[in-house]
Amino acid sequence: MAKKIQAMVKLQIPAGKATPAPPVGTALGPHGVNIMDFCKNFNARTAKDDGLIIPAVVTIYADRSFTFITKTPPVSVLLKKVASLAKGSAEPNRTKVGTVTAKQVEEIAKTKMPDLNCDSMQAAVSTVRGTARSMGIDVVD
Amino acid sequence: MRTYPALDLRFPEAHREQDQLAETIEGAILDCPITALDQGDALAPPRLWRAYFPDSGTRDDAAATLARLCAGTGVTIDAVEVADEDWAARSQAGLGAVRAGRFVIAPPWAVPDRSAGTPRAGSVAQPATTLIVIQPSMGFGTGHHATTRLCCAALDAIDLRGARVLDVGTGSGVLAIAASRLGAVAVLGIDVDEDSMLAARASLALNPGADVTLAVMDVRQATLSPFDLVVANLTGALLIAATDALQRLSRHRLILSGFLSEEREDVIRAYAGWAIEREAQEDGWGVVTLAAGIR
Repeated sequence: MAKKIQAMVKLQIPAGKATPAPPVGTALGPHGVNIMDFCKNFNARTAKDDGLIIPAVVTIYADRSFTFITKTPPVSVLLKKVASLAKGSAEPNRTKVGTVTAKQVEEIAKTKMPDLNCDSMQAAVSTVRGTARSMGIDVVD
Repeated sequence: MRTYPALDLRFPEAHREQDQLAETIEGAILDCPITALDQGDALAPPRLWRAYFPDSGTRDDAAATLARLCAGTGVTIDAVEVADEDWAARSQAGLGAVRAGRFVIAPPWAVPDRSAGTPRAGSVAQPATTLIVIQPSMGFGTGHHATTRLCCAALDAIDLRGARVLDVGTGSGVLAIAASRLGAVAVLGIDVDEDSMLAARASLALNPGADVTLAVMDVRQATLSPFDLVVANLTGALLIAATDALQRLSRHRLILSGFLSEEREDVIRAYAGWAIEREAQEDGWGVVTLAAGIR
């Protein structure tokens, strides 16, 4: 029989740097999760993405056991990292704040593929291009 | 007690365009210099998000930005100071003693009663055990994680009498104490996390006689003379990132752990030139003991 799910908590925390301090402790502690165990597992699985904030969805069962999946960071976050930007443009049509190359767009699309509702690489690339446009980031070849 | 500056965002219930609104606000929050975002339990509405900031200044700037965005949407924003509430200790309050090779690692409330385990006459003698007492708190290493047990066994497989040992990412200090109990002298435990240092200091008080010194230090910036053995229970990515430092700091042996089984190849490749002396896996985690000599 499937285990009874008690909660599904979503957290976005820096890759490889989870500690039992808030928010991990305060978000998962009340559900009876062993915080240190979660941190060790999260850090092992995300340490390679150092510098990014990684979304994780933690499923907690009635017996206090837990599983979690990590998602890829939002496209906007990946674009900002590649373009070395703090934030997108306030007026994306008029003010361009940065550029990324077509190859970088393709790499982001590849990273995001598992989480995007896209059947093809081409569709994923156009999604990423759309987000870049909405942030005032130009794509150059 | 330390508190963490944060913003609470409460979404109105039954907002028609709530999902789209939530997505816009999420994007704006991720544009701010947040340290983390708690988006709550999806199974328990109403929706409450808590965004964490490095200090109250950046928090207050972000509050102003988000308030402009949320004007008229019904989403409320409140600045809060989140208390730690010591969940690290509370979530581990039910732990018992664990055996790891010759070691028994126990929280103070579950220290085994030695007189109770008297073997019956004629029975096979119990192997000698060494007790390590760890107060479960903010430092990694209570013996309940596979990598701690794997590292204890790896330490136990080496003659450490008189050896100088460095424990990188010491956490609760458990491996440094284990090395000292195995005869190592002047063991140094380092960690980048100050909370871990508090935990490690508490461990030294619970294990009198352990010859261990502690320091807050990033191994990549460490200027120390080399040790006979360096033990590092980190992550696969960190073991690879710290390859130069770890190799420089060890004269004879490295015990590496905290990597996932699927990361084993990458870790081994990063330490080409070292010979694999011993390795083990448990629960999808690995440990490897590397010996210098053929470099």
